[in-house]
Order: sequence, then structure tokens, then C-alpha cells
Amino acid sequence: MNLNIYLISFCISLAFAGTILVLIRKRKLREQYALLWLLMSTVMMVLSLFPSLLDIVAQWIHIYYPPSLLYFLCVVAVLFILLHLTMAVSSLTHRVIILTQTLGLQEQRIKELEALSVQPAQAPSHVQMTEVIR
Amino acid sequence: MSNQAETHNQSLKVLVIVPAYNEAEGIAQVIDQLRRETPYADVLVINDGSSDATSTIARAAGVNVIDLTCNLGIGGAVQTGYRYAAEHHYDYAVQIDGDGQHSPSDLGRLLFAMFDTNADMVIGSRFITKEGFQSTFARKMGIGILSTLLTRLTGRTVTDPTSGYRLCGRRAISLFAREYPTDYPEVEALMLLYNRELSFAEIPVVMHERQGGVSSISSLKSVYYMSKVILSVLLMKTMKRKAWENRYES
Repeated sequence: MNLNIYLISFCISLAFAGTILVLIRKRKLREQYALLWLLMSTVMMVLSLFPSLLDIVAQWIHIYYPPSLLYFLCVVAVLFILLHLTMAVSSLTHRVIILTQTLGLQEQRIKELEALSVQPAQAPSHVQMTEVIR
Repeated sequence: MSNQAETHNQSLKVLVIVPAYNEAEGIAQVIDQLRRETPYADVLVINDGSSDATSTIARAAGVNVIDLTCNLGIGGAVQTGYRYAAEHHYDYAVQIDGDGQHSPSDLGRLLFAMFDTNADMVIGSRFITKEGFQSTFARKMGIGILSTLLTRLTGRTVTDPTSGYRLCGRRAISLFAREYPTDYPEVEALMLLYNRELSFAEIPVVMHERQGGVSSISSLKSVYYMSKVILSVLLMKTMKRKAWENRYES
């Protein structure tokens, strides 16, 4: 069995896909983010098993130097994953803002209610009670 | 004139939203001023994750304080106030900065303008009569560009799109409680009103130089500020105009 770059890259892609699956099982990676990664490692595996695919596709779209197609695909994939991450961060930011606001509003409401429940014992006067309720 | 405003307001609930980020130096004075000049309004300080004593000082002054656990920026802080106003069924909510730039004595005139014009939001502009603190040259240029842009896009004259001194009626409160831009929100909020077919008007006010703290816009950030605001305003213009239905339950 001769050790060549195709075999090495296949092993790396396989290890990569395995790592992702393990991470999902351990709940360290959410499926929604993992799908893109899995897709990428599958493509990597297919390309390292059948390197001639790259030549065929390159010929189709008139790329004279097939390895540059590989670089092109890599850059596009990385760009998409980065965009996906930025979108995820934006949506997280939005959620954190809403959560922080809600937390602040609730805390304020709790303080108000606590003040209300303490007040009657200290100040049972009718006038002050209506003041508090108003 | 202000007496009449007060009697008029007895049945109406007015909330003063004071966003404050590290304003310990000036906040007591602002609250004190509000107490004296607008006794008819409830004051709500939004402490936007300050690292100084802003919250303690405001609480000691006897007003409602909402503490945000982390710093959200002016937009997120002010929106908390609008959410509070919507939940507690306020008729009017006015935003007054915690650094003493806006004088509470103008609030009566803002309310009057709101009754007169029936607008959904009234903005206090420092550039109509050009009195008081007029900001620096560079900043005025930036504001000039933005006001020209806004006037063109909305078809209404806007002289001070960055003014934070603004009074909202119920419809605007319910809209802002639902959606409000996060950082540097003033200009975008105008576009939001325009997109949702709510109206706004401007009246002249006098602004002061800030009493403490640092402006949220430093010179380094101003390039980011201008590009971000112009980009999002232009993008918002491409959205379809859709009337805002008031989902204010009362």
C-alpha cells in the first residue's frame, strides 16, 4: 500500500467528519452549525478518493490548472462558513439584547412588588395605601 | 403656558426615560431638575451596565431604576424604556439624556407641540433657532449631511436627526417597544417611523454642553458612525412601507 497525498487527505477528511460527529454527540456542537461542516468534509472525502473528478470539472468550466479549482472551492466554502457564523452571532446579539431588557424589566417589577408587600405592614394608613396602589 | 400643560396632563401618563451609562457625576442633577420642572411625569432611569455609582445615586434620588446586566448601547437601553412604557400603558414617553444636555423645562412645549400637530413623535431640535450649545464644526457637518439625506428620503424637513430629545405618543411607543435600532439609533428611528407611516414634527429647543461623562461618539468612531447610519438608512428606504398597527393593549 503506497502512502500518497490522496490517502492522507482522505484520512484527514475522515478524521474531521468523525470529530464533528463526536462533538455533536457530546452536545458541544449544535446540529444546525454542524451540517455545513459535514457537507464540507464529505466533499473533501469524495475529492480525495476520486481526484480525477477535479480534472473533469475543471475541464468543464475551462480551468486550465485544475488545482486552482480546489483553492477556489476552498475559499468559497470558508467564506460561506464565515458568513454563516456572522449570521449566528448577529442573531445571538439580538437575543441577548431582548433577554437583558426583559431581565431588567422583571427585576424592576420584583423590586416594586417587594416594596408593595413590605409597605402595608409598616404603613397601614388608608391614605398611604391608596398612594402606594396608585 | 407650562401650568396649562400640567393641568392638561393630569389624566395622561407621561414617562421620562433617562438612559445613563456611567453618568454618576450628572445624574443626580438631572433627576433633581426633572422633579422640579416636570412634577407630572414619572422618571425611569435605565442604567446601561454602568461601572460607577449611577444606579445607586439614581435610586437614592427616589426614582425608578432599571439595571441592565450588560451594556447594550444607547438603543438597547432606550428600548427598555419604551417596553416599560408600553407595559405600563403610558400615553407619552420622552427620552432625556442623563448628562444634562436636554433641559426638562422644554418638555411642556414638546407636549404642546404633540397636542397641536397630532404627530406620533416630536423632536427637540437645536438647529431651528440655533440657540444654545451648537456642537462642534465636524459634528455639525455630519449632522448636516444626515439631515439633508433624511429630508430627501422622507420628504419632510428634518433639521436635527441626531437629537436624542424626543417625545413619543402611544403609537410610536408601541412601535419602538417592538423594534428599535441598537447602536446610534436616532437617525434610523426616524426612517423606521417613516417606513411604518407614523408622523414626526420638530420644535426648537436649547441644548447644553454635557455635564459629565463622555459622548458615545468619539472622533475615531465617527467614520464608522456615518457609514453605518447612511448604509442602514438607505437600506431601510428600499423596504416596503407598511402601516404600523397599534397592538397596544389597553
